[in-house]
Amino acid sequence: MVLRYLGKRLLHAVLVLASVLVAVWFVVNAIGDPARLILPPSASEQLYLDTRESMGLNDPILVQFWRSVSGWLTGDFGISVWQNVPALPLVLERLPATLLLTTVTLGVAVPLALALGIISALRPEGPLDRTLTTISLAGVSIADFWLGLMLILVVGVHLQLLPTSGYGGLEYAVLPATALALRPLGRLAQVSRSAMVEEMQKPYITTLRAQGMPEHTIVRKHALKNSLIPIITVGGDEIATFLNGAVVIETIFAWPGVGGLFIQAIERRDLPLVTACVFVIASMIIVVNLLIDLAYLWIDPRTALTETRRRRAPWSRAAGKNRSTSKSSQSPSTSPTTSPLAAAGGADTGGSTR
Amino acid sequence: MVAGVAASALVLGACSGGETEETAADDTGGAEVTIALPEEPRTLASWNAYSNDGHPVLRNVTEALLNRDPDSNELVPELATSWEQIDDTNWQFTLREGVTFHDGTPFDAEAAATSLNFVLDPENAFPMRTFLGPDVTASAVDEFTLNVETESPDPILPTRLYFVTIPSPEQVDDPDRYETNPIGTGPYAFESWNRGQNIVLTANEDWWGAESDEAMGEQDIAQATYVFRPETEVRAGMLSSNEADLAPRITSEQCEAAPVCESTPTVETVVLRLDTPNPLLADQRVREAIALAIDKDQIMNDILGGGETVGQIVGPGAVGYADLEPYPYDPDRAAELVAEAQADGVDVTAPITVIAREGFILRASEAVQVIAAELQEIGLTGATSETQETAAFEEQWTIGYDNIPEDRAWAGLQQHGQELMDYAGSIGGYYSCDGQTSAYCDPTLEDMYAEAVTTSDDERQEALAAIAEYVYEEVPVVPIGQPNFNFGMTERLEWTPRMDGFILLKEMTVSE
Repeated sequence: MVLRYLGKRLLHAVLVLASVLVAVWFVVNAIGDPARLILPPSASEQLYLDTRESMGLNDPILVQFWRSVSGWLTGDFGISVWQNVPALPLVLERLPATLLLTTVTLGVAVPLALALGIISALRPEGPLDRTLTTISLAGVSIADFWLGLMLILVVGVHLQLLPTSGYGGLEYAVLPATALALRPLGRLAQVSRSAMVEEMQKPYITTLRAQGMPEHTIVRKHALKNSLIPIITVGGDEIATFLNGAVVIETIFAWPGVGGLFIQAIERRDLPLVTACVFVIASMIIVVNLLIDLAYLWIDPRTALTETRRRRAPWSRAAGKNRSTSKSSQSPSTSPTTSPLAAAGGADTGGSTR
Repeated sequence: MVAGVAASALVLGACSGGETEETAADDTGGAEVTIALPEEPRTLASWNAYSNDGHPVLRNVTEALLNRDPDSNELVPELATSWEQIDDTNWQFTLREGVTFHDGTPFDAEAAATSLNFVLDPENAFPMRTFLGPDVTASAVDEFTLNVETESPDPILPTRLYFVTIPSPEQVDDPDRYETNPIGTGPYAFESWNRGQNIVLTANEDWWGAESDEAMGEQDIAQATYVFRPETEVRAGMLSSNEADLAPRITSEQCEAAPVCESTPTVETVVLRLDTPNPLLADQRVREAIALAIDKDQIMNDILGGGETVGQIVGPGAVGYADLEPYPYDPDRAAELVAEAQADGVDVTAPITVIAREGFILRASEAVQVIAAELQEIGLTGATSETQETAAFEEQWTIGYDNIPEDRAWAGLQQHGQELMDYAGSIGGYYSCDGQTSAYCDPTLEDMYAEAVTTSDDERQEALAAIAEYVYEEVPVVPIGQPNFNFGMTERLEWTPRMDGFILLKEMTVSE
């Protein structure tokens, strides 16, 4: 069941990647004449025609398309027009920087956000909750480029505690990560707060309390895991945003990430490089989505089940009797939509009331 | 499968991400400096990168036949010790002996000819070629005599060759590596390039200039690291935090706040080019009105960070500079001219787009807004402003006079660099019918120009200055000003910026 679910997800991922590449190829080839872009403005008409011929731009569009596709299959995205070297390695070179910044940023933001959310949720509407909500709202609202410049001026230039910009050891990541962390911190804190508040009002929590289970155990063992699904959904969304490139922050801090390269490639109409960037970014986002799917599975094993069940539904209706014994029908809250949010409701209920 | 590859890339990335990228400096005893540039060179092949983002780095690695004396601005020997014109189309350069490239290849006439012919080959059409006039062919006469033949007479060939650097023939021969491995004869040799991060140069121990006064420099700096910081605030800040010793192209306010500030006029001018194929801008009175309507001093000093107003699109250093009075700021007279044109049936309410390229000129977006407002003031009520990103702008800017559509009415704010310091190049670019960046075509001017380019010395100065006076009246391009370039430096660095914008390590000294 689980394998089938994963297989389906993987197939889905490959299809998404393929369609993204195809769409980008056509859009990119529609905007400009690659031969003109490669040549300096002073190039002669003859040189232009020769270049078109040697680049194969006079071939039928489908032949050109097929050539690109066969290149992609071997990891060949062509030569960057701007830098004159193969495009894919240029992008992969930038990957460690992007991953480091994403890891540090979320490594700080996620645990902190969870802690803030839980503390707020324990006494909803209390003074602590209100203070923390204000802080998280401010985090969401502050413009990261402004914060970035302020951090450079105050911490880098005046206090000289950390390098102002550039790429190197962890100390170089601190300022850009701080500038970036505030928004996901605020957003995740708000989401985890409301998820926890909702969870703590569920009847099974009351039951657990009535059975005399200590509050911290309730939170840790039951409420937290159940409220994780929306948090993971939003967290995944944030990761995708970072992988897409924290372009402004990368530019300000001269952080050599994929996002900055992507923007420069677009500005310079470097079509092979744009395509390679799209490929790498899309692949990373797909991987993140797969990991999120796995996380759902770990939190709520019914995710795989409900997916499979829905797919079978149209033609297995006659055999409805068999289905009554399936595990999912025991749960009152399982909705026919497979939304993980909806499914999150009673995830652990059966076990905990036993 | 794809996802698998990406996943392993994720893991690999996470492993190498935490490591330090800083390269340990060679301990040669000399000083190390860090220079924060606004842009990373797109390639290290000098003939491709040199004309735009590459020269601050590459002019230290490769050298040219000639240099300019930074004080007098005269052409002086570099790789050539002397030169003379043999006849109308032949020039001979006596080359310096005992020079070797960083890869050990000896520098002689054969090597110089091979590299020059490659770099300037019209077939290759490298950006370096844009500094040249008629096509050239270089050949070795004997071991240290180089002959350069021009297709038609080119009286300023030495001026042009001062801008053309000579790479090693070995580098030219290795297309797989020549984009990433520059080899020259210069005082500094290429050490490493971490794309997106830095380029490191180290002193070349075998540099000929170590024993020659003609090199006009010394190797006081043992290692230079170039880093790239597009944000001016960050470049300037790195001086105060001692992370960089030199930060070019910062605003005048940032420069004043820097430990040391050097501000200098350069070979660049800010110009407003008018699309003369357009019926409204084809009217000379309207063009003159635009020149009078703009408060050029305000644009230069309140918006663009400081500089002098000019009456010509080259500054005082150039051959052909005519010392013309800049058009005054006179909106009343401008309004009269517009009214006159309107009375003659010109539609002065037609659209005009005051446009600039984003990010190239600091605060260009503010400048175009101000100019558009000034044009509206004098009755050109269709004026609006716009900025475009580089590639889109260039595609429409360098199309040549013939391809400018009549319904386009751009007043384009652009920076023009006359690196050769010879006005003829600017005329060819901005005023002649064939100019890539020209939006103007005038038979009278074509004749004057064809005549002027064959002259030299005083005659050339006169002929070019006459053209300057002619276009001054016609105003197809409104000269706005000659911007100061601001260089922020740390206390320990001793350096005076050059007019040609070269940032030469050999001219710097460091006090510890």
